[in-house]
Amino acid sequence: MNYKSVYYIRLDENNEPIEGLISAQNMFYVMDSSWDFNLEDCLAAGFAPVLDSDRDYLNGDGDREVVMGAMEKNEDGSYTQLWVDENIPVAEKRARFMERTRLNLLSQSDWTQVVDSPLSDEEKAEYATYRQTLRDLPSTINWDTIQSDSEINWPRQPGIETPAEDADPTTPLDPETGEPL
Amino acid sequence: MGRFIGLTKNKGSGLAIEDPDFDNSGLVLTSNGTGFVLAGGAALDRTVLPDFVNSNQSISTNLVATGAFDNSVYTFAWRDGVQYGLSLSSSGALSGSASSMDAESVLKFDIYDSTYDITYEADVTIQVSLSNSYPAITTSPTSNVSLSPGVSQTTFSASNSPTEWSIISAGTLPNGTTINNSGVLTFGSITIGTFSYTFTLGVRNSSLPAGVYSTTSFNKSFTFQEPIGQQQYQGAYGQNGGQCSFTWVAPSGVQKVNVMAIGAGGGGRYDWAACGGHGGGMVWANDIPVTPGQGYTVQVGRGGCWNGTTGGCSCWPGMKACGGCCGCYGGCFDFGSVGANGACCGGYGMMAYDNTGGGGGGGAGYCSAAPASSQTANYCGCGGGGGSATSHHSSTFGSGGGGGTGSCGMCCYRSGACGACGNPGYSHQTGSGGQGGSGGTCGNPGEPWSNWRGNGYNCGGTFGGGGGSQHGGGWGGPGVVRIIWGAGRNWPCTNTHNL
Repeated sequence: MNYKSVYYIRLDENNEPIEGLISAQNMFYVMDSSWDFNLEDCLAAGFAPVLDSDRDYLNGDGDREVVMGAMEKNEDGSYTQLWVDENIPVAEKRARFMERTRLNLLSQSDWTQVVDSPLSDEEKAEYATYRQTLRDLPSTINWDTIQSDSEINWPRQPGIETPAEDADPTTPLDPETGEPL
Repeated sequence: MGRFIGLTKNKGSGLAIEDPDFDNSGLVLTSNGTGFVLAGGAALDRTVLPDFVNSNQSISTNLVATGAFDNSVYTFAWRDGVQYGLSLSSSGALSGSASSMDAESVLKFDIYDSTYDITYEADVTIQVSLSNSYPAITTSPTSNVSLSPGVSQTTFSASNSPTEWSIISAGTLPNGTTINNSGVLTFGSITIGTFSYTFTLGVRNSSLPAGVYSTTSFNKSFTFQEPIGQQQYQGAYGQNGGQCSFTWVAPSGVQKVNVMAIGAGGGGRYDWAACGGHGGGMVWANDIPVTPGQGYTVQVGRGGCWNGTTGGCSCWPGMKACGGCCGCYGGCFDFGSVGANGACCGGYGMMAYDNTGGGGGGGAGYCSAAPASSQTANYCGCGGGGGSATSHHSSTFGSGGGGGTGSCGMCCYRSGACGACGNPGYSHQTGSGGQGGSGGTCGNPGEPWSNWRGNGYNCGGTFGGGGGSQHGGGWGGPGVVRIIWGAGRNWPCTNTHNL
């Protein structure tokens, strides 16, 4: 076991974990500023290493969240941290994958529908259709199964005839050339 | 039926009750002017003299007599003249070399009680190894010991491979002090400072009879130096606000700590003309009392997500550095002010517009949240600069995250710049998080962080930098709690780096 890469937990008189996780660096100081200790030394001092407790994970981006679960006691007296990888609620998924982008695109095209817009009636109508598609977009998505914002089929802005194959439809366009920036 | 004990005239004016079965029964009747009183006889404290000694050792001790009247005053003298070349003063100071002693030497003393004019006799037998085979403590009994910071052990030395050590008399040693069979004395409890302890250690090996030790008495000065160390807890990038919670256990000997906390930066917004996330607040306090072995809850803020979540607060019991708010059109305006519950807030993110900022810098703010028991309160902090935006359609293309604040001290409290500003954001090549503060005298800049998600994320720097805004929207920089301890260290600027 690499004692420098795990967290620790304090044990009570019944060898049950109490308090929060203790970092390895803290244990170094607790064990008289030494790494020369093993499992038995830890247990004798009233602490237990928690295996799999130092995990790098990403939250806030995808359709799932990783959160700490319970701790499981091992036969040798150490503990193992359990992790829960769970789906986020549909409302949160919708907010993450769509809403900010969708509202952003609507905001950016507000000018096309004002009375003094320089656009022609035809262009205005195209933008109106585009904006309605944006408004209807949430109802076209199966929010129970979608896993990434890349699965959303975003409508193209009027005037963009041949988008690059790998272009991101939400990428801002140069107002002068219409090309993605 | 009881035994007959005769009454006879002892040396001096006292009368002794004499038990014919024993010599020197020591019970004395003496006149106090109005009658006779019974007193216990004086005896020599045997523990101050060794039972076993090598011939190459010296003897240096002060004889102590006890057991007669409370007001007895004793003087000492040889009973049969100077013995074995040793020197004896009337006050009981005995010194000399054992080299002239016999294998079994008997020292004969007269102990004179000058208050009652009584003389007692005491014979002390000392075994001397002429081949110097007895173990003997070689550690100086008088020199001072200065222990390293946080160390509560010191090792004693002895000759002839001792197999067993023992504290013969704990004297004034702290309760719980022990010695192992390698001569390592471990103090039961220590307090920072210099203290003199009187005690007697024994050492033995197979050349001595079972249970017999070669003893040495000490009156030794120990200096316990303050432990030095540091501990840093930091949140992770790529989180969705909130906090990580830990327990910090005060190591042995650590009785006060200095703590600095920076809240996590708020997430930037993925909206047109939205602000970058606000910077996390900062707070610090010095000389916070802690109890060795006790656990303290530490909470570290996780950076706000690009979808506009608030950064988590970073906390130590009694103090709190708030996380930055998310980037937004209006949002909170705790810039430089004291937030709710005395929390300290960082700089707020700016709306991305031509050449203007993005994420707020971490750590700016005003602190009034030091624990009541600490010795420090009400300091201003300064963090990394805010992120900036490109001059080219910056409101559309976003802005860089705010610079974080280094965790090793407050640079702008003295000289030098605060954390550098974030880079401008530009389309897919959005700005990276701003470089963290320099950390003052030690330097531990926060790391900019960006672009791992493919199309670029303008995240705040560590620690506490606000996330950039607009395209990609950045995560806020994570928060941090840094704990330092040891003499000559305190926030904001003094020896706050790793030692």
